Amino acid sequence: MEININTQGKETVATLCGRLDTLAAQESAAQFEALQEKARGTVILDCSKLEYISSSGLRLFLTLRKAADTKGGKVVVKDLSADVRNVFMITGFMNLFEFQ
Amino acid sequence: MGQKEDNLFNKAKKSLKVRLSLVMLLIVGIVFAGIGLMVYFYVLKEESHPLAGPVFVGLLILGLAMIVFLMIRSVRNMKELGEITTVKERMENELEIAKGIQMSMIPKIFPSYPERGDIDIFASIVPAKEVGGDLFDFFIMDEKLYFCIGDVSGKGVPASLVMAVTRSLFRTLAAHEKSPGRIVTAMNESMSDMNESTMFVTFFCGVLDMKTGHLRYCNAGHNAPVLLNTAKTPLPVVSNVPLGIVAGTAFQEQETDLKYDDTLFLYTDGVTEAENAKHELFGEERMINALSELKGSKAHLEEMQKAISDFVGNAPQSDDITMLFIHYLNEETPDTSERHLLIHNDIQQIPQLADFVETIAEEKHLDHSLTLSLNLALEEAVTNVIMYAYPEGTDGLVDIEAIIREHSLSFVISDSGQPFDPTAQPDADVSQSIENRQVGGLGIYLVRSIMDNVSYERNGGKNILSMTKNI
Repeated sequence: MEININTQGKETVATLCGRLDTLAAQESAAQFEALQEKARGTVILDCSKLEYISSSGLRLFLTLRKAADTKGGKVVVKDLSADVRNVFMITGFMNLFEFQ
Repeated sequence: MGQKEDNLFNKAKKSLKVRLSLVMLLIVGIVFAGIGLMVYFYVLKEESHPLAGPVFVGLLILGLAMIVFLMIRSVRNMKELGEITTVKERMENELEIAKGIQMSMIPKIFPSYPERGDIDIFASIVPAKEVGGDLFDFFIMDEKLYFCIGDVSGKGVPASLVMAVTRSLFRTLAAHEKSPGRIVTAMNESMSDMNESTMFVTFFCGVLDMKTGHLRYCNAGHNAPVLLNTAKTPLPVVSNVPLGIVAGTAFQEQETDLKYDDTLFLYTDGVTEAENAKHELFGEERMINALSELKGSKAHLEEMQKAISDFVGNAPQSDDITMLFIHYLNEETPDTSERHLLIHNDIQQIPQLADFVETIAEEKHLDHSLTLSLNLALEEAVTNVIMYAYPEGTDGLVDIEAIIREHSLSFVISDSGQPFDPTAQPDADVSQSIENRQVGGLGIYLVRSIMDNVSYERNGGKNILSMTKNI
């Protein structure tokens, strides 16, 4: 799992690459915490290269979304693959995020 | 060499030393007595010197005293020698009894299952000394053949004690455990704990499903068994380390499928290292060549015994020689297959699940989306075990069995942790808004959504979660 974070002004783009399984979620926790700091503005999660996500990964998404809510920012999830979208559908996450 | 034997050896050495010093004493005694007599004949007879009388008497008494002392010691020495002989006889007798006990720990009735048509086993063990450090064992329980072969480092009495412990541990643990990886791991834990004498055991253990021919096995530093079918190929084994060296070692389990008429040949290095008078070794190549196209276990064993004895000739046997032939003869081909994965309760091992599901998906030609879903359900179920079944910091194993049928696929996940029923946990409420949405509870919800059937049972001190997907 590789995450590249790029901030320009009020917009932060995080590109997620690979499999976000339980281990990867544990290893990415610090980067998601860093993203929470940016959640005053807009955080775009570019998921075009995200191949897989498990509940640990979903929890990172949800925590970030809650932080944005508190801080008045927003989280946009971009380019979900059909398989990952399916996991979002099952878990009701489609109602929690803005999608592009 | 045994402690008792050592004592005997030291005693014998000591008595030899005593005898040598007594011979010296005898010589000195004779010399003194001789000088006394010479003084008498050549000096005292001619002229009477004032000191001649006392010198003569002194030397004569000293010499005679030495000779008398020597005679007393000799009698004691003879008694001691008699004692040593008695001890030696008793030890030989005890070794003979030990040999009988040791041999009674090993299956010795062949053919072992004459009533069964699906298995044919023949084996032999020839210790180099009275007692040895080689072992093999097998038994059938719940239609599964549990078998093992092992070789303890060293020879003689110490090796035979470790051999007895190894065999007992195998029997005890295998009665409750069908995963050879777990059997070997648990054996290693016990043996590393008590191992102060730094002895170790190379060991190979297998569990053969008699109905399906599915073979799960685990190797602990032993020679790879040879699979005899149309080809003669060593079974692919991860060597791992021998038993009793490092506690906490993770032993990798492997699996394969035996087909009708396949024979598995297990042996100890006494076979490949059998030496002839020219100090040449029998070697793996000669061993493989000697394994002919013969199909019966009995014929295989006899032929191999002959090949070794022809090669060795009159040279003395230097190591224990053990051979075990398992001939699988079940003709009915099953329509299900199994795959297994054994992991530690460590998040670091989670990526192995993806490879495991991928292997099954390839075999079953599943599409990519379904593969990912199955991977997700399995990961969630296993993560639950890792997080909740074992208290923080304790090491445990998670056994994952995949049962592949024509129209369904099941995962059975078992662990020996504290009772934990994931199906009894509340599902996440997926309809909640962001403010009220809980972070937990998603795992089991995903498992339920993806799989068609999920059930939990607590059995034999284990959590067993079964889940099936119709395909």
